[in-house]
Amino acid sequence: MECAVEKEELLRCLYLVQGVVEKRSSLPILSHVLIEGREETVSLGATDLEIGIRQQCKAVVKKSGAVTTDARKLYEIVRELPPERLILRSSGEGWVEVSSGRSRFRMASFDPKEFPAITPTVGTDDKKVAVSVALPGKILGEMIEKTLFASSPDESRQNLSGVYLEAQPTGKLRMVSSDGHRLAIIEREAGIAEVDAWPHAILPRKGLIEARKLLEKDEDSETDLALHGATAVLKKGTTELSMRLIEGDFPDYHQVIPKEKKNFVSFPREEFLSAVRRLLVLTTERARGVKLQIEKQKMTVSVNTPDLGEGTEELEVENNGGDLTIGFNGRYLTEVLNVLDEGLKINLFLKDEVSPGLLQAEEDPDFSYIIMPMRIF
Amino acid sequence: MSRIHLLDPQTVGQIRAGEVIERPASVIKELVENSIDAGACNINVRIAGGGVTEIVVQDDGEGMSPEDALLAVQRHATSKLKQSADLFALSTLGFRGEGLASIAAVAQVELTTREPSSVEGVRVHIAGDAPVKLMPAAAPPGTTVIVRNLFFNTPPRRAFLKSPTSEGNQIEEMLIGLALSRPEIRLQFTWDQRLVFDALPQDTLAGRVKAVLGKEWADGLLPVAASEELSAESGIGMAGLVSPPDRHRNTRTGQYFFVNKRLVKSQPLSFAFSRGYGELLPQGRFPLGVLFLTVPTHSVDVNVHPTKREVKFQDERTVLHVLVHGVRSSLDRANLFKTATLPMPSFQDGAAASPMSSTSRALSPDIPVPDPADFPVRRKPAAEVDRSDPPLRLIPKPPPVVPVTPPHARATGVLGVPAQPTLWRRPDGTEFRIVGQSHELFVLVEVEGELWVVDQHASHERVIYEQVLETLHRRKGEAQPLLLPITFELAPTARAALEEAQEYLTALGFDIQPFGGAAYQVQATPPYFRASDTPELIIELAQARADGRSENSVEAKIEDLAARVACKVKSVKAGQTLTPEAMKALVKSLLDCRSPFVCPHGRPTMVRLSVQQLAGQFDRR
Repeated sequence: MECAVEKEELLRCLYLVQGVVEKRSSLPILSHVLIEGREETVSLGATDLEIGIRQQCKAVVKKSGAVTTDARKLYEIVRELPPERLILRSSGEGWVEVSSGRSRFRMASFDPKEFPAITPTVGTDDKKVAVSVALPGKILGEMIEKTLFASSPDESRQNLSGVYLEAQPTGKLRMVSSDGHRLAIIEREAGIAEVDAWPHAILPRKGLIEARKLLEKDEDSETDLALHGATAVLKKGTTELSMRLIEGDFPDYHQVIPKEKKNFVSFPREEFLSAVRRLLVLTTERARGVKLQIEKQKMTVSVNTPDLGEGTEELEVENNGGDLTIGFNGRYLTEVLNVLDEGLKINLFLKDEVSPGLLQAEEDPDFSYIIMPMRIF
Repeated sequence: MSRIHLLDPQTVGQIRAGEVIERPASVIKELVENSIDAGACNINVRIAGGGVTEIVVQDDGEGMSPEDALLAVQRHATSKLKQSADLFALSTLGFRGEGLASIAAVAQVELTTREPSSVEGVRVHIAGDAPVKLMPAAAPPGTTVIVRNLFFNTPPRRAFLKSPTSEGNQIEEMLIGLALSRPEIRLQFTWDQRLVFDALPQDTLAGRVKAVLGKEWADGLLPVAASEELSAESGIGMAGLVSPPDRHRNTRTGQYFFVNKRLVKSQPLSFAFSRGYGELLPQGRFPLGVLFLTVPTHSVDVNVHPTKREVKFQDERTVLHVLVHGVRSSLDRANLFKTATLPMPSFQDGAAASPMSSTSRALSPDIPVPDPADFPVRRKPAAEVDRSDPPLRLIPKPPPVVPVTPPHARATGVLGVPAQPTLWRRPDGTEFRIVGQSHELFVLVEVEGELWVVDQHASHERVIYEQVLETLHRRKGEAQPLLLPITFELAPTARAALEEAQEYLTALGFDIQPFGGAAYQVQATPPYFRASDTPELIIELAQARADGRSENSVEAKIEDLAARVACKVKSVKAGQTLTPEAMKALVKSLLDCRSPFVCPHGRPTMVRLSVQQLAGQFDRR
């Protein structure tokens, strides 16, 4: 294998691959990137057996073939090279040579035939079931951003450790996530035609974190999200990110969505967010309780940590219900407000101090956040 | 002829003797207790053939007149009790009047005695049902009893005896107990002409412990005593010597309990003793100790069993309470701070690798660093008098020390950590400085004249444990209900454990409800607790209950629960990089703990090295 590639192009492609590469894997080959040169393109591939990425890279291939090498080391070397064209060449058995100007590096390579499949596949089961949706990268990125934070980092509740994907009869795409204490739902127009063909799928956290990285700062490129059996594949331009779906059923979340939307308070996002952020300073990891005392047109937000101190913030609110005192985990409040856009008017629907609350932005009823209150003293 | 008939006196005697005299050690107990009751100052015990062949107990007590001597070997003849009412006000060890008679029923006994005031002694021979022989004899003041051929007339019982060595060991154990009960009496024990111990009269219990149990056993024992208030209130006294928490056994041997100076075996007392140590001891280990309880004679019944080794308390709860709190408060006051021992440096030891290779961890930048606010400095409730004595006060002020580091080197710590944010002073004036972290395992602290090595994981567990415990005591745990509750199933035995713990779980912030059949639902947990760990917590509680490891007192249950919860809460792990602020916060909150030196599993949280110790290693002394 021999190819010539511009430094900036290779650096960009290697950056995208980094997140997938296993840093401390028991399988050494997983810390390598697979570099394949075929006809007019070079493709970089990496996998941790759960998610995989394949990145096309503009290059001039002089000799077809494949090599592997330590992804992190290659990235660090390329980053430091001058912005010139560089040459990647397999040199003898088990080595790859990187040269640019007067710099030459020889790095160890595994046998590329031993490299695991980039796209994780589970057996050969129902390859036929394949659905896909095309939507702007910006929208998909937003949907991931607004659900991923509420998913559970706790792997013992496996079915919650990802984001649930569902096609709506309206043709919209819906994503739902929950860690058991709160739940985020977002719907966006996707023009899905064959709604009934869509399977229920849970996308894994790690895959979505990479997807978010891929979609960040995206203007309006089109992306394609496809489900084949147990695998989801996200394509954007020259990048293909695939991930193994989480097994198991997402819990029936419909029953926790409050039906009654009678009493609610409204307030500007920034005012409430900064108040809660300040109050959280006076809480500890083991007690994040924030008390909301809602009266006529006024909401008093307070914390009281016995060995630390207490704080109170007063907000002017529109109160469309009676008086109520309710406690929440403050972190659950700030996390949702952080992913919402600036300048929004927030409506918080509350029934009583023990029933779940519903948070929505007045401008965007297609995003809902349901949060369980906390018993605090 | 009637099928039911009265047994002849000899058979009755043998049956009765069987209850009192089980083995040679029982003979020793009866005889030595008689000697003690006779006011002896010197007691000499000699045995041969594991006590079966011969036992000799010689004392210099008040002796007996010929008439008394004859009566003494008869059943229910005693000088210690006159009427049944006296049974409830016993101050002597014996009272049943069975001892000598029982021995005489199953062995050949020769009793020689002289009252100090009379010129001539008397010797009584008695063996089984043979007629009693009485003759005048020359004798020193006091009584000497020789017991030969134990169980000569009851072969089945003889067949059940163990080897002479084993029987002799039981005698030794019995004598140790008796010797401990009366430090003021000299007790000599000779076994097959070999002197096992000669315990000279002692003013203190410590001296006696050393004499009979050995120096190693006696070393480092901590004195314990019931608080004066508690004693005054309950009328129950407690004092003794116990092992520090880092010394323990896997059995309950090595525990000696005395109630009104009577050696007793008591499971409740033994359990309460362990309770006093609580979480300071590792699971399944038992402390050592010699403990004396003084209980009003009318509120204790020693007449439960013929051998009087068991006792019944009228108000057992109070007795146990005094014991648990006496031990615990004494341990809390004791300085349990472990001092590291430094071996002389050995040059061959160069290959000593660090226990955990940390290269891979050091590379990863994404290790979460705990929030310093997670370690709030705990204010002590002013009401608690017991805590007015912080353990730190017990850290000896070091003698003036040659400065370790030249002044200019002090501006930054050894590991390049800026000194300022890591320096603080406790109210008692002790100054602390975080030197840095070592191997992502230990926090190094410089304290006047000493270097402390703090185990970051163990100490954080201690901090969390005490916080959880406080929540449990205040019964005000915040609860985070679940939007999507977790359902799990429990075995019937585990269900009972859950019902039992329900009250405390609720106080902590858990809400676990039956969900039909074997199913239960976790509806809420404390906010810091991972909800999905709840089923495992319940199963662990049930397991401990099934194994009989959990004890029945409320306090024990609370502590057990707190330790288990603390264990599951995300704590600072070994291999985690800490910021200077986090280290300082950790050490500060550790020092505010009730028992800062031991983690909830009984392992030390920190060790100290004195500068002198270190200087010694460099031949700088």
